[in-house]
Amino acid sequence: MAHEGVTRLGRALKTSPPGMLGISVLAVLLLMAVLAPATAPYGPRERVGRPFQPPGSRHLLGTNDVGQDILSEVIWGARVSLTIGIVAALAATSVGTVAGCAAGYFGGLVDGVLMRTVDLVLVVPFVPLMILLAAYLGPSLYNLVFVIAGLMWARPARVVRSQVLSLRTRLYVEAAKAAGGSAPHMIRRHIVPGVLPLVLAEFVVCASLAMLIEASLSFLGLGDPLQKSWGTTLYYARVRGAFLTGAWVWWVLPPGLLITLTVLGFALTGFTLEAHCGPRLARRGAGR
Amino acid sequence: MVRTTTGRAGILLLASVTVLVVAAPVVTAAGTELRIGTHTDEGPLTPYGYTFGYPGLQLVRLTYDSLFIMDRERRPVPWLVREYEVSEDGKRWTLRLHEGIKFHDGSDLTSADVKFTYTYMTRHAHAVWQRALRGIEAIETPDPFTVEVRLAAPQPLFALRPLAEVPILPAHIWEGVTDPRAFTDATGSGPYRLAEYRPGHFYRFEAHPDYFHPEWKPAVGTIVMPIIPDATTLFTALRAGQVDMATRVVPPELVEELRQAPGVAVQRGPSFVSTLLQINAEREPFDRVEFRRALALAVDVQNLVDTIQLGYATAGGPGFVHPMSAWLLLPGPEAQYDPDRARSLLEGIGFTDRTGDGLREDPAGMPFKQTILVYADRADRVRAAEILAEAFRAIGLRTEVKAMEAGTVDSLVWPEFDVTKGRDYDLAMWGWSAGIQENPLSLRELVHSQGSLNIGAFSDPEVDQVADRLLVATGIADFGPVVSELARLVADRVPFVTLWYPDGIYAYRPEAYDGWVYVKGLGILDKLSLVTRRVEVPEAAPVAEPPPARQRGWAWLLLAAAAGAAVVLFGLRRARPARP
Repeated sequence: MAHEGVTRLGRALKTSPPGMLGISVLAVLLLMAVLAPATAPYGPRERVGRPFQPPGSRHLLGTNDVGQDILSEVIWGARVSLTIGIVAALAATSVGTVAGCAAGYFGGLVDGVLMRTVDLVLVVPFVPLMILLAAYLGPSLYNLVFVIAGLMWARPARVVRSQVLSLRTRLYVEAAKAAGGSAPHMIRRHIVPGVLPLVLAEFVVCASLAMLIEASLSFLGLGDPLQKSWGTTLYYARVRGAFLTGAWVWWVLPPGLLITLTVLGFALTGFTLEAHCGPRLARRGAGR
Repeated sequence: MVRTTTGRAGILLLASVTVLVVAAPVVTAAGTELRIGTHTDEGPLTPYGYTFGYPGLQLVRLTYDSLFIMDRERRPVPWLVREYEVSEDGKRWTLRLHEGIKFHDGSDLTSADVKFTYTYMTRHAHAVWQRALRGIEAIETPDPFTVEVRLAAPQPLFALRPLAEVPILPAHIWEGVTDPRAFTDATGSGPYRLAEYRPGHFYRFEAHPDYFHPEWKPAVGTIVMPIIPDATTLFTALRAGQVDMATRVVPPELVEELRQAPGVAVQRGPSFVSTLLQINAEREPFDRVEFRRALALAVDVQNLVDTIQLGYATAGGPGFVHPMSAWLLLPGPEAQYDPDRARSLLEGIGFTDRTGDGLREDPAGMPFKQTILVYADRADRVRAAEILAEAFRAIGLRTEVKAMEAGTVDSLVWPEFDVTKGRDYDLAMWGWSAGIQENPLSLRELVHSQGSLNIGAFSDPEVDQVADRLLVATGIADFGPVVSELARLVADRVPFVTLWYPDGIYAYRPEAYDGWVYVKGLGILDKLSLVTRRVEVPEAAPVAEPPPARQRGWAWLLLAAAAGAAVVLFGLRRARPARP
């Protein structure tokens, strides 16, 4: 069933032009990140020229404040940015799925406690809390992932729970339960496979959000200034005066555009996936 | 530490200099308004109520006067004092005040106020000059214009600190104030009166119409100081002509930009602020002088200056003392960059690479790793730390940089700002304010094993012995040779690696005001920049409402309206499908 659900999602992506576009953009960016050693002209930390050079034949996007090649920095930055996005989204959706499944399946007190917690996380103003947490925990990659995941698990939990609620009342699930299936068995065999496509869609949405948050936090100087992510490239551009000199054209725009492009890729993919398996569209699935 | 900058002190000329040798060109007429964009909110600007040494204490000096003042070479010269005598044994100072000194509220400043201030400040400790006040045995005021100070022991630097440091408080206002840090009345006798302060928004100063000084008068009618913490915003405002001067040091990457901007001028000069690589000499293997020497030899300070500061800095002397410091009689020792010698030093103490991975193990054969701590919000220092780590790896030392929130770094390097509380770090990017360079006694605190600023627990009997000779100096001339010897010794023993002294670079609009004076080691925001040789009294300018607060109000209103509209529109769109 899980396999079938995921195949259906694949089909949905293929038949929808935006979905196709999204997945292609992501594929290209992922490829760029993986092939960074081959595609980047220099190492990301190599100091290869005078600081603050404008674009030229040796450095297509000029050099940054310590003489590192900005183009190489941006290409290598894809690795850190995408990794943070994916790891944080993975963490958030895992927690969300577990919480959602538990709440939906067990109901009662478990549901009450978990969902009120979700409400709490959803209702707290997101950006201030995120900045506060990041500042309090201090700048490091792990903390960043932790903050992002800690604030994002609520949405997948909500969505998964509603799907579980609908799954729980299906005849085959009730039949299996009547036959004496234990809770862990029921969840593993019948519930998780049922929510997997949905989780995948949530994952994509979370990844795009996580990337955006990483970029914002790093830009504000709350990220890890030693990591080469797009957000930190933007941070150094900001604190070293790129907005006052003309340097923003080659120092701020490229990472900015890449962030936009990635988020767009994730969003297009995510919307397509969601449209095909969101609980609110379950009618379509039930009819089959 | 740079953030809790201590007071400025200076180079001392004890000979009877009674006239200021500074001459500021005068362009601006009285009655004008000068707008200075400042980068921090400094609080109510009383001598107890400012936040940072710069610009806070400099602003306090606009509203208050002290008995002496530091001239542009940072030598103490008389100010409120007309003339003075020091007894033969150096223990008795007789100070004669100018007549007709008025506080902003119109009352007279007399010797009673001086006595009150010094007594009050002894009772209510002030971090900057508390130590200097301890040596005072008694203060007598035979008449309203004479103050006699008796010292327990001769203090060669007495004119510098406390006389040029301590702002004179109006006794009638401060009498009965038990919590000086909570007191906000900033009435003083300085050339400018703090007319208005709106926290987070702006300060407004007005010229003191009855300023006492026979020659030096307030140069402008009104000074408005909007508080603009963000560097980009501040310098954009300067370029656009919205402010006439920015208190923030121009970052190296903006110097050319601002120099070319129409109507903007830039002044550059030496600054006594220092940036260092602090070493925890208490911890193995940093307790070994050979290891510390190897670290110093691996660092190319000139390359750091060229990369991080784009050349706008003086390369750090290994003896810590700035090459332009007047205390240094002989040329200070020069920094050496010699990675090969660093490698052989490490080999000599058993740090060799046994595994062949290019990184050395410690003498016991265990993998070795050192960590450099750095404030995460100081981009220049983070960059420098990365370059240092690279240099240390080049001599085979595994080095990691850890960027942490400033408070966390402080708590590891200098817990509770008390060196007796221990420490927990290997290496740290650090900096000291200008005041440390200006006062030779601070140098002792820095390197003496019992020194209050010795944050690396560095201990060397020979250094202690030389540093202690600073304490027994009886005259100004005694300091020079000791400081020079100490610098040589420090360069050899490496309690820290002095990386650079950044240039002080300040931008302003000369068409608005061109009286700025570069005070050596400090910058252009100084009382000397804002007083001018003049006889007639300037009229106070008509009170102009500074714009920032209002503008911001409008912007917020607009923003709120837009957000409201968006919510309403969104709500309508969402609601529509629900309707049948």
